[in-house]
Amino acid sequence: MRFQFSMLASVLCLLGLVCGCGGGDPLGRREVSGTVTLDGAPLADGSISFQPVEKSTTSSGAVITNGAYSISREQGLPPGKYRVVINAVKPGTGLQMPAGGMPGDEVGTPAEELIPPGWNTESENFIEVGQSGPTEFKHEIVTKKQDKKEG
Amino acid sequence: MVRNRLAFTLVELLVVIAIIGILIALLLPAVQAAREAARRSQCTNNLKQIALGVHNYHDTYKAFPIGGYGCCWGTWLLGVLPFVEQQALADLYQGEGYDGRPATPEPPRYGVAVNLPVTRTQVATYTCPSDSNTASMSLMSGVTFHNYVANYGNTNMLMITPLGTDTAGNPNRYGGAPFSWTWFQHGVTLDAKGIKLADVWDGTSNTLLFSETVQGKSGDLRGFAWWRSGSHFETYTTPNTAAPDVLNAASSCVMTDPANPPCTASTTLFHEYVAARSRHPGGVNAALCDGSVRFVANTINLDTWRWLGTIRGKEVLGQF
Repeated sequence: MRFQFSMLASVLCLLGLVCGCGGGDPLGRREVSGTVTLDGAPLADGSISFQPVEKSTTSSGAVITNGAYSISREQGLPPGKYRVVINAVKPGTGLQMPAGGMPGDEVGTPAEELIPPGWNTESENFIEVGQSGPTEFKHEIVTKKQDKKEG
Repeated sequence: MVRNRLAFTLVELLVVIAIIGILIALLLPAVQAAREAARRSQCTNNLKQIALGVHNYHDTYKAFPIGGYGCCWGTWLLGVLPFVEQQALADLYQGEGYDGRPATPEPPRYGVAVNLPVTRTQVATYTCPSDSNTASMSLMSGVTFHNYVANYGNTNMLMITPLGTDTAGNPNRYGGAPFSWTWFQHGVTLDAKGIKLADVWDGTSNTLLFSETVQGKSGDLRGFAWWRSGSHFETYTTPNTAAPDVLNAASSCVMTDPANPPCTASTTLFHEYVAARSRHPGGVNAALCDGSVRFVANTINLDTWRWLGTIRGKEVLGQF
């Protein structure tokens, strides 16, 4: 039986060699996730993207569903500072495709933006992704003016 | 004790079979990768043919073709057809060149009966074998989807809005593009110009001409290239990014099918832009204005990619 055992052992060694190490990631990306609320309620539909401002040389983003988004490590953000850009279609607005229509037949006017410019075209909201530490973020968008106490 | 065997035992046979099985299992991924490499080289060749076709177009008309006429009256696909040996197909098409200004009668669109013999054709030169073909008679009257898209620059399809920042926090401003489209919508006009090679100030080897897209599935309209919005890409986002593409309307973006890359609908603040995308692992093929084709990794520096998208941005490119 010794013969078979040595055979098995060599097969196991071979397997170990083959499985080896995973592929490297030149950017050192990190998994990122978070929640988005609009005036306290989760943002139903929308998109979020991150524009590099410092250190990083790439951008990423995700679709927001029910107030949450996540980006896998393979597509994630390398450590650095990013500008947060969020957009969403105002419900009930936008081009509509008539029944049996072909692309180009859409009727209506372009969708209105639900998110204020301070969160997209003129965004002054940033996140920092560190070498380590948490990469979960909370984005709280406020459109209504805060109630000020009189007097 | 003398052993004088003339046969293998069952256990020995099983071990041999197991080893052969493991060796084949080792080989299989390599075979699949070799198949994808072959498809990718076919895909690269198609892109080269298109780039050479555009150069021949430029020799004839002294400018690049128009990216798209209005929404529905021909895209660069038509302009380039005669230069990829499809003159007969190009001759069949009617109504090319109208830009959407009110007219009676309106010239035929890409999807009406007279043009369906052309727009139902799956043009092999415009199709990348790494992707699967979407077209079916039950979807969009059988109009075909294709895989190559024209460079509309570094911002969005309207080519006007400074959008986003570079890695130093500077705004990403539109720097010109080899292709544009004519537009008449909601009272605003935009006249497309056929860009000349002399307009490519950044140098033809530093400017993208074409790249790839994937064919949208289940009604998603990426790669629906007989129609304007399926025939362009912008370098605002890096290839195959997880950041959603911004499509013209909610009806064009189908996120319920996991085969489709992420997308969202455009709004009055967020105009249409689409990233270069492919089914190749790790990157996309891209043709430059000098006619060369190279494979660009998804990890390309964002600034470099955006600068590659402009014809007169006057940027100094890094390695890519």
